[in-house]
Amino acid sequence: MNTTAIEIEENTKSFEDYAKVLKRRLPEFFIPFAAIAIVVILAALLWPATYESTATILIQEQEIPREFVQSTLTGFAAQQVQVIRQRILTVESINKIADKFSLYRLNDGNKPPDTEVALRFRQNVSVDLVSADVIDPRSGRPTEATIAFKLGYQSVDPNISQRVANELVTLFLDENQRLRTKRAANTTNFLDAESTALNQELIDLEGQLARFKEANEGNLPELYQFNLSTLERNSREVTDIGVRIKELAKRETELSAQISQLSPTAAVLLPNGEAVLGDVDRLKILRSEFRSKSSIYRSNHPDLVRLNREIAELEASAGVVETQKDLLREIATLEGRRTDLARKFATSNPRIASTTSQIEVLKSRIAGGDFADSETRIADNPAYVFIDTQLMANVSERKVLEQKQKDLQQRIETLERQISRAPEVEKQYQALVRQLTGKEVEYSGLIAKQGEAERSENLEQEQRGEQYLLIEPPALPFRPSSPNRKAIVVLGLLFAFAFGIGFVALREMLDASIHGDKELTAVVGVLPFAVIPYIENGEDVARRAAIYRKGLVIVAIGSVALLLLVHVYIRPLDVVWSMLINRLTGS
Amino acid sequence: MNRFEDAIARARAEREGRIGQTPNLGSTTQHDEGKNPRAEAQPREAPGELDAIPNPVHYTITRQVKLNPESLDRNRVIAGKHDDARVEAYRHLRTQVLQTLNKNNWSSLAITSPHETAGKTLTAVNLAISLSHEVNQTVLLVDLDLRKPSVHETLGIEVQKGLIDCIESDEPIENVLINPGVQRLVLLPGRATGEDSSELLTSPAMMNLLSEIGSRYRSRIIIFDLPSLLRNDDALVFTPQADATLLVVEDGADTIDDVEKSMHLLSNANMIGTILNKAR
Repeated sequence: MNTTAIEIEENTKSFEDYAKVLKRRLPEFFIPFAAIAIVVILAALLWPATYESTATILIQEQEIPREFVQSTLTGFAAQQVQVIRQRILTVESINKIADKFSLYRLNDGNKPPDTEVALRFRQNVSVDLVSADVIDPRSGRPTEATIAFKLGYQSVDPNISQRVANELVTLFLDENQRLRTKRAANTTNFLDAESTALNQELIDLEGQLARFKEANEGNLPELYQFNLSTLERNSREVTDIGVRIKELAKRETELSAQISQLSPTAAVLLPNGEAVLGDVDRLKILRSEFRSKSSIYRSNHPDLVRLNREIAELEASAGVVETQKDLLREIATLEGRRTDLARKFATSNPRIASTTSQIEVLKSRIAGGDFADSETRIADNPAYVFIDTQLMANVSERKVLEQKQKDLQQRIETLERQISRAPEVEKQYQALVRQLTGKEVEYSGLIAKQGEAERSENLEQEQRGEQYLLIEPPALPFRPSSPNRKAIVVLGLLFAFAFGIGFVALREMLDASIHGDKELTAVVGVLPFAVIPYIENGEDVARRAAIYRKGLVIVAIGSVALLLLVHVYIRPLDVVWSMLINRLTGS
Repeated sequence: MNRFEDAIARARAEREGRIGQTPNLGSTTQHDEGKNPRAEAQPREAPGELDAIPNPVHYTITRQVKLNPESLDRNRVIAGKHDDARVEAYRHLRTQVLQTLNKNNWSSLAITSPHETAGKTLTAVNLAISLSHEVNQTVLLVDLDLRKPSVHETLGIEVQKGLIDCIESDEPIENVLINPGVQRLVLLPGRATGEDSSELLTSPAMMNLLSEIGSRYRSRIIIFDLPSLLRNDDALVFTPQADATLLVVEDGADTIDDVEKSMHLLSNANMIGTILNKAR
């Protein structure tokens, strides 16, 4: 039931109804309104003005185009500004400024704690970026670029605001310059260190590679094919040699067989077919004949003499022909003969003595090495010599080939070993080469950057990089930047009005009682029979008049008191008046 | 006293069948300017009725009281003033009431309200006065608030006897009635007792009294000033007795809830409408 009544009530409200409500609750509206209005007006009048002094600093593009020298200080201008701002607005540096200008001193002359000073200072500093819509020259797209920034400081004293703003500008510009130079130098130094390190690495790698090459000399990938073909060739060669050796061996056997049939010394054939003994054989025969005869005859026997003479002649042409074997045989024979002689005759027998002396000669010849080598017979049989020569050549060839075969075999083994290891070696080699190449690329890149950095450093040092340019120094503000008194008053009054209305509305909402015949009709369903107004009697009238009078008195006294207070405690009234005029028309 | 006027008055009284008249002993009969001290006894429906049944024992007179204009003003009783613009509201009320009563042939009207402060007594008084100014109407105003009867206070009258005496002491009505100096208006006041009156309300004596009033004063309009509905059930008992009931609502004080509750309580009575009082 309640809700429908309320709904009907809400639907049938008209402007007059609202006016009636307001009229009824006028005090409830007026008091909050007045209270807030007074506060607002006082605030608007008494709020101390702050002045702000602002400088405009332009961010200049570097003079030398970027394509030629890329400044190392890429980074958005906005970021730059913020970074410098941070560096300047440290607690320490703020307090230096505050001390210089005696900011934020308390009434007794002391200064608040450092952190508080810093906090308040930061609140009074403003750094605003100025952007413009530009076309990015590199990408062609429209972007926003920061082209300048405004640096300002606000204070209740316009002079202070200007001076502090100036100080800030100086700090900003100096810091910017310092940072850029330092950063450019830092980059160069950094790159230098890097390139040195890299250089060292390169050297190490090259050494590594050289050592590797050395260690795997025959096995480097580029030799692989060569090794393969060499292997193949050697194998073939080995096979060939083997074949040839077999041949030679066969021939050797043949030749040996042939030569065994021959005598080294050729029997000289007379025309009648008789063989004449060779010199060597003759000599041997003569000697043995001499020896046997000398055991019988005396040395001056004509046979002996004749034999001696012939032996001497032959020896002169043939040389020493008796081998060691021959001599030993001869010694043995002579000793046998002596023994025989000793049995038959007395030791003083001259034949024994001569045999003994012959033995002694032979022995001394052996001891002295005065004999011929068994092999180096002077062969003069042409056939023998011919075949012997062939045989010797064969043998030596065979030996040579065998040696070669052995060598080749060894070489093949080496190659095979190498080849089997080749993939591994290749892998390692390639790895090393890659590393080296990579480092080389890095290095060349680094060298390029180094060059850039050095040039950039020069650019900064010659002050041709991105520069901050003060285009508008901080001016002395003659008008306060805040507060906006008019706005305060207007908005404040609006708010007071709204507040009053709100208060009334709230009260009205909370009021459950019936007001007016419309509401009553809504509840009852029919119009009331009559609406009897409030009938005032004499007392009511008197009371109203009394209240009215009292109200006037209160307002009058209150105003006077307020003015008095203002005059005594805040400012003299004539000053207030002129202030009012100024503020309301000026700000 | 004008003999001539006196004669005329007597003649009229006889014509109307009055039993007799003597000034009430102890009444506050003062010099009244132009007020006829005629007694208003009970008019009969049929002129001859009461002649036939005179009250043998009592010579009843309706007490006359002159009202003090200052106290009337102080008590906001303005319906008697002819030059006051505020009376227009009561005139309007009177017209509405009369129309309704006449249309339905009702003669008794109960006035009540949700709470005490609605001003129902004042409304009843002003309405009664206003009605009595209508030449063809005679009005009996009965104060049925047994706990705190205030009609006489509103009019600035002292009473020695009230409704309660009719019930308890069997006092005849005529002895209690008062004519408050307004033509065609008679008041049956209440007398404050300290007693708890709730049992009296439903007593047979009360019922008898009410029916007696109803029957004896049938040609008059009877206005019952009841106690407030939400205070206790006293009013509830009466309302079915009256032909019609009006609910007085105080502007800015009575809530929707109050009104709705009241309407609910009056569902057995014949509530014909509301009066918005103290409207601002």
